[in-house]
Amino acid sequence: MEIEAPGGSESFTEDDIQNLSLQQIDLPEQDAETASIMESDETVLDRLACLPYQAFVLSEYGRPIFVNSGNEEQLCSLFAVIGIFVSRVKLWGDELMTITSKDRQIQFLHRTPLILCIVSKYGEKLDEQLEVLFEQIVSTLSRAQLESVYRKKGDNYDLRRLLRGTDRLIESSVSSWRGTLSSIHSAISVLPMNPGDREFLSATMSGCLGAAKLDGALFGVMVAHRQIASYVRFKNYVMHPRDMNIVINLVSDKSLQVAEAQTWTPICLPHFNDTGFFYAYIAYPWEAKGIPACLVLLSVKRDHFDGLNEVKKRILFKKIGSEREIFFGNFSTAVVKPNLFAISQIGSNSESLWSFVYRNHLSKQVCISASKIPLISREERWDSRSDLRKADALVSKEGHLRTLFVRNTKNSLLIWVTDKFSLQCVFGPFVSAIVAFTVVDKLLKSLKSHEQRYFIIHTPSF
Amino acid sequence: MLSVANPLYFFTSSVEAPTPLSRLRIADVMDFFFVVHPDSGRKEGDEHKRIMYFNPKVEALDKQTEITGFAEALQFLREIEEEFDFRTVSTQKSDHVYIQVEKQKFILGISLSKQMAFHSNYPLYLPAVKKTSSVIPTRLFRLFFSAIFGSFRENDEEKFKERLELFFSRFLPLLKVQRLPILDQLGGVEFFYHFPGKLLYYSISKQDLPVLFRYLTQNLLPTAIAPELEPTRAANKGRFFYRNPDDVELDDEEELLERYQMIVYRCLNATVCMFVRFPDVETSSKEQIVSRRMLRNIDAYLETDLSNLASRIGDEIGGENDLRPEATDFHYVYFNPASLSMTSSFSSTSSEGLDGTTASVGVAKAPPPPVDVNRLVCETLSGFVSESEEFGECFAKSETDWWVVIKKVNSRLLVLLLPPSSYQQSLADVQSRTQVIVKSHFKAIFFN
Repeated sequence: MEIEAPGGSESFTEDDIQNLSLQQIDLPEQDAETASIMESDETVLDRLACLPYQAFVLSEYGRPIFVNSGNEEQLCSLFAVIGIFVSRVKLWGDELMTITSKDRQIQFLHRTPLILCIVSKYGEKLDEQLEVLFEQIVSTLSRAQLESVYRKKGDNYDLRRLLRGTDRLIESSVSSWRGTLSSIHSAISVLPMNPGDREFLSATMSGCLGAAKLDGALFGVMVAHRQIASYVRFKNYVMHPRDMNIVINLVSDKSLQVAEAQTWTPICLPHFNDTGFFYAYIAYPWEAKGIPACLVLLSVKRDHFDGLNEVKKRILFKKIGSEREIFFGNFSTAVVKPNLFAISQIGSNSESLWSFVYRNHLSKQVCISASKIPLISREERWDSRSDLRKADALVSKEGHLRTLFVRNTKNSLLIWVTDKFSLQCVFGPFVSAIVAFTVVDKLLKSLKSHEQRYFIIHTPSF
Repeated sequence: MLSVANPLYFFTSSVEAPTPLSRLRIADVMDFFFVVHPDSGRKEGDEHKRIMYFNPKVEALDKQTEITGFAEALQFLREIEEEFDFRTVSTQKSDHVYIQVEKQKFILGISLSKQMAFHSNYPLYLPAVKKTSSVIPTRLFRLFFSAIFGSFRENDEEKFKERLELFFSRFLPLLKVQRLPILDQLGGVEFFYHFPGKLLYYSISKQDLPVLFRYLTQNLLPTAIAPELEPTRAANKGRFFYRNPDDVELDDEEELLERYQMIVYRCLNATVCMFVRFPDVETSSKEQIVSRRMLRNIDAYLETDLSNLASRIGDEIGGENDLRPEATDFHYVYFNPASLSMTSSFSSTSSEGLDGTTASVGVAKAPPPPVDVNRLVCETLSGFVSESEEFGECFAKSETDWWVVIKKVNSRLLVLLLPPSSYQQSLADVQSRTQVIVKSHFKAIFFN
C-alpha cells in the first residue's frame, strides 16, 4: 500500500550550495562573577540531585564551565572525575560513551576542546541531547573560536569569561529537554495556522526581503511558542532543524522580549557553518498587544541592521487595508490561542486514540496532537509523554523497526515507521490492532488533507 | 592432579561439548575479565596489588592496573549517583560490566568487544551480559567456593589467587552466552519436556536453581560422557560423582547461606543431586555426616528405581513416540517465573553437553533470527513489557519482515519470533497466527 506522507517533501538538510564563508567576530571577555550567595557543597549537590537532568560542561583539562545547578566552583572535584574518566578511556584509544547503574544513566561527549556530560533518570537519546548542548555553546563562540581560544590563552583558560551572559541560553536548552520530546530538537514544529494566512505571511516576508536587495540576508523566520509560523530563505539556502532550534532557543529568552525593541546579535549556526557568524535581527512587533510572536531576520553582514529594520517595517505595514486586518486578526488568534491537532477531527472511532506524534522524515517536521481526555492531569500527560519518549528512543536505536504494537493495562502504544514518516500513538488499553490501524489510516488522511495547516509545505525563496 | 572430590576437577574436563549455533563462548567476544580487591592496592605504588585475577594474562601489568583502577574509580561517581552494586560502561569499542561482591569488598569486571560481538553475530545486550558473566560466577562462588574468600580472610593471598586462577581459567572458557540474550537474562531452567539435560524436579531455593543447574549441565555432567561411552561398563550401574561429598552453601528461605554437602548420583542418563545439611555443631566432621554407609544405602535405594526411570525416558526419546514435538516453523521462548521453567526452540540436545555426538539439533526448522531481531526482543521486552504487571502483549516488526511477539499472561511469558512469510503481512495476520500457535503448541501451559 502506497501511503501518502503528510508534511511535504521539501528536504530540510540539503547543503550542496552552502559553502558561504562567514565572518569571525571578537568576543568580549567578562570577569567571572562570584556566586552572590555562597552555598555549602552539600547544598549544591543536593540541589543538583533533584534536577531531572544534571548537565556538566568542562574543558578537556577539567576546568568547570557549566553545570545546570550553578556554582561550578563548588563542584570542582566532580568535574575533575568526569574529565579523568573521559581522558583515561581516550588514552586507551577508545571513547567513553555511557555509564549506567540501576536507575541512572551518565552520558559523555568529547568534542575537542570540551567535555560534556549528562546524568539522567531518563536514559533516552542522551547522546543527541549532548550534541544539542554542544551546538548551543558553539552558537555563541563558533567552533573555530572555541578551538583557538585555548591555543591562544592557555589550557587553563576559564571559558566562562566568554560565555558569561549566555549561560541562561544553555540553561534553557537543557531545561527544554524535560518539557519536549527529544526528537523535537532535530525537527521543526510548525504553528498551526490557516493556510491562506501562512501564505500571506510568507509571501510578505519573502517579498520584503527580496525587495530590499540586501546581499547576505539569507533567512526570515516568524516564531511563536517555540514553533515556526513562517520561514523564508534566499535562493536554495536551507537552515538545518537543529540550527532552527538554536534560533528558537535564543528568541525564547525573556530578556529579549521587549516591546518596540530590536536586538542585533551574532549567532553561529553550526550545521550551516561552524566557523563564523550570522547576525540575527530580532523583534517582537506585537509584544505590546499581547501577541508573543517574534520576527527573526538573519544576515551574514554585520552592517545590515538598518536594512533589516526597514524590512521589518515593510513586513508589518505592507498592504494596509482589509486584507492585512483579516490576516492580523487570524494570526493573533493562532498565536494567542494555539490550536493543536484535535484528535476528534479525524471522525468516529477516534475516541480510542489519546495522543500522537507524527514526524515527516524528509521535511523534518513534526505534528504533536493536543492532549485529550483521559490525559488530563499533569501526571497522566507525563506518563503518556514518557511512553512516547521511549517509543521515540526505540525508533532511533533500532533503525530496522517498522511496527510496534504494545498493549498493557494502562494504555496501548502503536509505532509505525516507513521511509517517509514515523508515527507514534497512545491508544486506550482496550483497542484492538485492527481498530488502531483503522484510526491511524484516518489520522494520516486527515493530516494529509489539513497538511498546509500543520506543516510548511513550501518554503518561499527570494 | 586434582581430586575428583574437588569441584574444580569438573572444570578441567577435556570433553567439551560442541557449541551449538544458538550459543557462543563468552571467551570469543571477551576483552578482559578480572577480580580486584581495592583495599589491597590503596598504597601509592602498590596499586597493582589490588588485582587478584586478570584474564588475559598477557596484558601488561600497567594496563591491568589502569583498567582495574578505572573500575575502582567508578565509585567516585557516588556524588551524583549513590548506589553502586553494579555499573555498566559503554565505550565506542567495548561494553563493560562491573559488579561489587562480598559486601562490596571485591569488584568483578568484564569487557566484551563490540567488534568481536559484531563478527560473531552476538547482539550485545548489557543486562544479559551482566547476568551471565558476573552474576553467575558470583553465585557459583556462593555455592561452592566460599572457601576461596575464606583463604583471603585468613590472609593467605597467594592461596586465594591460586584458587581464583584455578576457578576462572577453567570456568571462563566453558562459559557460554545465548545469541538470544533474553534466554540468559530470564535465567530460567529447561524442564524435562523434550530432551535429556532438562530438569524433572527440584526442592532447593529458586535463587540457587539456575546457577546450580547450569553448573551441573555445563560443567559437571559433561565429564560423565567419557566413562559412559566405555563398552565394558555395566550400563545400568549407578555411580556417585563425588566420592567425598563437597561443601556447598545454599540459600534458605530468608536468603541466608546455609552449609550443605552435595552428593551427585547418576544412573544411565538420569542424575539426582542431593544436599545434606551440616549440623550446627562445629565439631562434626564430614565423615560423620555423609558416611560410606549412607552412600551405599542411597545407592541401594536409588539404583533400581532410577535406572527404571532413566530407561523409560530413554525409550520415550529413542522410540517412535519421540517426545520431541514436530519442528516448528517459528522460534519460541516460554518462561514461567513462578517455577523458573523455561523452554525454547533454541535448545538442542548438544547444548546441554550430554552427548557429544549430536551437533545442534534445534526444535525449529525456522532460519536463525538475524542479530538485530534478537536485540529487538530484548529491547521490547525490557522497555515495553512491565516486569511488575502480570499481563501485557507486544508485537514488533523488523524491516526484514521478521515479527517478534511477546505475550505475558498471569506473569507467564511467551516470546515468538516469526520468520518472514507472505501470510503475515499485517498486524492482524500476526495476531491470528499467534492465536493459532498458542492453541496448537502452548495450550497446556499458556492461557490465551
